[in-house]
Amino acid sequence: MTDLTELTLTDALKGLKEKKFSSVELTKAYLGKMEELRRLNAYITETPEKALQMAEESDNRRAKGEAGKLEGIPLGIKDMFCTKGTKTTAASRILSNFIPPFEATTTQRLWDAGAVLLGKTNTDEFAMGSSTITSYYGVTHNPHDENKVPGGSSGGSAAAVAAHMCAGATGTETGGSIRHPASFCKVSGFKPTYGRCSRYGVIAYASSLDEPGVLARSVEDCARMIEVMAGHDPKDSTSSHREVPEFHKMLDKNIKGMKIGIPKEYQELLPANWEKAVQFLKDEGAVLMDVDMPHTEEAGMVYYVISQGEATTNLARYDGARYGVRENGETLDEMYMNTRMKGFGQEVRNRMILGTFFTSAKGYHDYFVPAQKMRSLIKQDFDKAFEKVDVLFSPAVPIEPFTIEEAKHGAAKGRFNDNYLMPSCLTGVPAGCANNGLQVIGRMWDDATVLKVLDVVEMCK
Amino acid sequence: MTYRIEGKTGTWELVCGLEVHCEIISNSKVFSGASAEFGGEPNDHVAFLDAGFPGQLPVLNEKCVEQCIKTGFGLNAKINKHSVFDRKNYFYGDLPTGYQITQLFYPIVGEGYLDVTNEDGGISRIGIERLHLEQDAGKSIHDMHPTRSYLDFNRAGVGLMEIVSKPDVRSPEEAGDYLRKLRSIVRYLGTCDGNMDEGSMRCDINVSVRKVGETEFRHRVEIKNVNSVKFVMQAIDLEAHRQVELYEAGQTFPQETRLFDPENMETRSMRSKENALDYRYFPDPDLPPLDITDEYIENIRKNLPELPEVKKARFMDELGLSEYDARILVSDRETALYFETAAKGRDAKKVANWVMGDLFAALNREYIAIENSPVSPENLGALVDLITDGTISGKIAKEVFEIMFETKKDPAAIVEEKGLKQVSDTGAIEKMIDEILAANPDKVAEIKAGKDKLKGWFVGQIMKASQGKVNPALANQLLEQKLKN
Repeated sequence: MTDLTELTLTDALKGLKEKKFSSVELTKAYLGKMEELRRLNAYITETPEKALQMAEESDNRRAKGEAGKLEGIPLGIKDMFCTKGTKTTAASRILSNFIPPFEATTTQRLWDAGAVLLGKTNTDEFAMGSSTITSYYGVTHNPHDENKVPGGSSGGSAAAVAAHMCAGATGTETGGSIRHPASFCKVSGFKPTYGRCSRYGVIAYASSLDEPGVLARSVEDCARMIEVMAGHDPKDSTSSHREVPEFHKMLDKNIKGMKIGIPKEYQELLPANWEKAVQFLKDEGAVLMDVDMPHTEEAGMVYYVISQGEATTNLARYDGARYGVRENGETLDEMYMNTRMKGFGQEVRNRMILGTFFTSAKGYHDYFVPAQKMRSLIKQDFDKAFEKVDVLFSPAVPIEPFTIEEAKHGAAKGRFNDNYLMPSCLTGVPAGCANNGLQVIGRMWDDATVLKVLDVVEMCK
Repeated sequence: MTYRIEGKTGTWELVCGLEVHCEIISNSKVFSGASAEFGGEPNDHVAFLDAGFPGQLPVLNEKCVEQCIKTGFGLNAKINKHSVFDRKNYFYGDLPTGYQITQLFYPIVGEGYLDVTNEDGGISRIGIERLHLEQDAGKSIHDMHPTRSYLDFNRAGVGLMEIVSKPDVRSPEEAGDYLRKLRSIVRYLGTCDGNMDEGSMRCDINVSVRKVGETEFRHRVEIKNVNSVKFVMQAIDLEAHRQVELYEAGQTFPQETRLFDPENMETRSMRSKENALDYRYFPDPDLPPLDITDEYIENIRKNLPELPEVKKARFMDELGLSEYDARILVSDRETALYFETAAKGRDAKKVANWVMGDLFAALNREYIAIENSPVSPENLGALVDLITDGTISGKIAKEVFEIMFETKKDPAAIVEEKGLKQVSDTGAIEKMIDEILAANPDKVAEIKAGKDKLKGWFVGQIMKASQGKVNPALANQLLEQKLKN
């Protein structure tokens, strides 16, 4: 028998449906791969027993003709999603003993559709980073070059997908955390419109930016996962009531006459495959044009102020009092200080300090409010661009992955690391990265068009 | 007398504002599905959100919104169609998320007012600055263990209305009546039980003083968490005098937060403004702004119960009650309800006298709340009917009332059973009078000689002989006739 882990999610579904193999067999193949490549450190927690049990149940359902949309598909779940009964750490020491008594809405929907949990994937601590080096559980290695980082923060998920240690994985984006590692690990990643996927049960980093999404080997795989995860959730007041289309059925590979804008500000540095991709889209019948996104340059600062401001209050609850790791002290304040000093890593503590400043009486006035105003201007850039074009097209991350050593010395702070990613996070528009490192950004709620164009972009190798 | 503090350097006046926290009556908490009921075993009513678990999100309980709007109407206030939730950040054991969700910049209810009775018996209008919706904190328990503190999150996340007055209060009496009025309003509306002992209504007081004639405010001191009307009045008086003494001694004092200690009758410093917390308020990204429609607001307005001030005016205008009687009878919803039920279709003034006289006395004597009165309002009304139609005398009625209070029986049955029916048969009364007159010829002679006062003695004798059952007016009339003959 061929290696079942070589199959994409879409092909594996087909094989399961045609009874060429069972979910138990598929799951065992993935568990074997996880063991074989454990050195990549893609997973924080592996759940082989649970996986096999879920796979068996899935096979039973399929035998009874009750197959769901992702019946029998083994997935990796970023360790930011709370999974009931399975340790969920946010890659932080402070939650290193935390076993959630509830399930995130998005993962619950995956299980309800028949998917199988392989384990919890590594991430930057509390998703703060773009190299997966700030994890309490150590760095994840890029499967294409183990000296290099996988990108981040969803680096564990991207590496697991790239190394065929799962059929697909969940991720979260706050400032590019799905598309960045997707680009570095050469897999597909998709972040839907803010409000499509419930944030209930997803450990918060910056609530107005956090958006659950997916990473997989192809755009179609992503579409199949996201259509299961998305949809209104009464437990999240910011989740949308909009109907969720069956995205995977809308990938007709026809972009004839579609207007595709290329932001001038996103062309400063271009990857080697760029020219070829532009030509490819033209050949497919798309109309390409330049558009202006004048406030792009400001997105980085705006992102830092808002995300760190929100993060500092979202992470205030980790005090050692009710769950998680506690470091005792003589007084309540001392317990807080000890717990948070030893519980959080350096990067998280840095962001807490900055965020506390940005939300202080003075900082709020001098930084937070201006950042909110600038956020509106960035949104206007998108609104204006989308008056002219249907989608935007650009490289996701125009640079090659850096080495783990370089990352430890601040390579992720380079200006081309996430410049092309952050504006779309600040505005909540849907965006995805194809497995060739090129991204498509669409109008609010027009996730379908983004996936459709990405699916074509992905054909250009 | 207008409240003033006479100092060595001049006359001082009080400038005071009140911040009252009212726990909202609702089945579940303001942002979680846990029960909002008071009490229970520690940590019985706690959802994951209330304990600050990761990934938990707040979902607004619409009932709490409705309760705020109702209360807003009770405060004659502007209802804001657009309001926003903010996070107020600070660390404490009983604050599980490290921030309280509140409304700083855009509260749900804006400016309004309450009219209160001042120490001169006049009316003072106290402005309301705002009412905003927020969540309560949990409770730290420090006395269960020598070195540990325990946490109870039953109260964490219960909806609170914070009602902030303008600095319009000029005397402890005004503050006291403001609180009583406020309590009465929230109870009428069913938005808060107003129970200060259980902490479902709590008061913070801002106190400053200034010389009479000054127009600027001097700096203020906040007194936190005072839990009775009496204590609020005492705390204000104490703090105002303390400030005057300090000013007059040429001393400065910090803008600070103090605690009131009723045992030692003093206020004590809690923390000063220099190390005051920066609460780092900012809009809560987990909750979209609250936008409500005119229709929604109007619907709540239409279904409001009659508020005490309106009811009082109606009692005076339509039922002819005095201001005093009306004020007493509307002071709480249960009394007003009792009175209105008893007075339905009857002489309201007579019923009011019975409610405020014999009924209040009996209830107070037995420590019974009016809603649990053994004499139902219907039966009290029936008793008044028996007097009005002459079946029993007022004197007998008092006797019947006491039996009603003990036995819960209806008055007609008691009158029947005990044979207390008033005698209105003139023949029987005349016979009785004849006998008494015959037995006391000397007194009859005295009356005829002009000693009119003795007539009363004869009436008394008639009542005695009849065991009070004779209609006294009729007895009087017949006696006059007999004496003329």
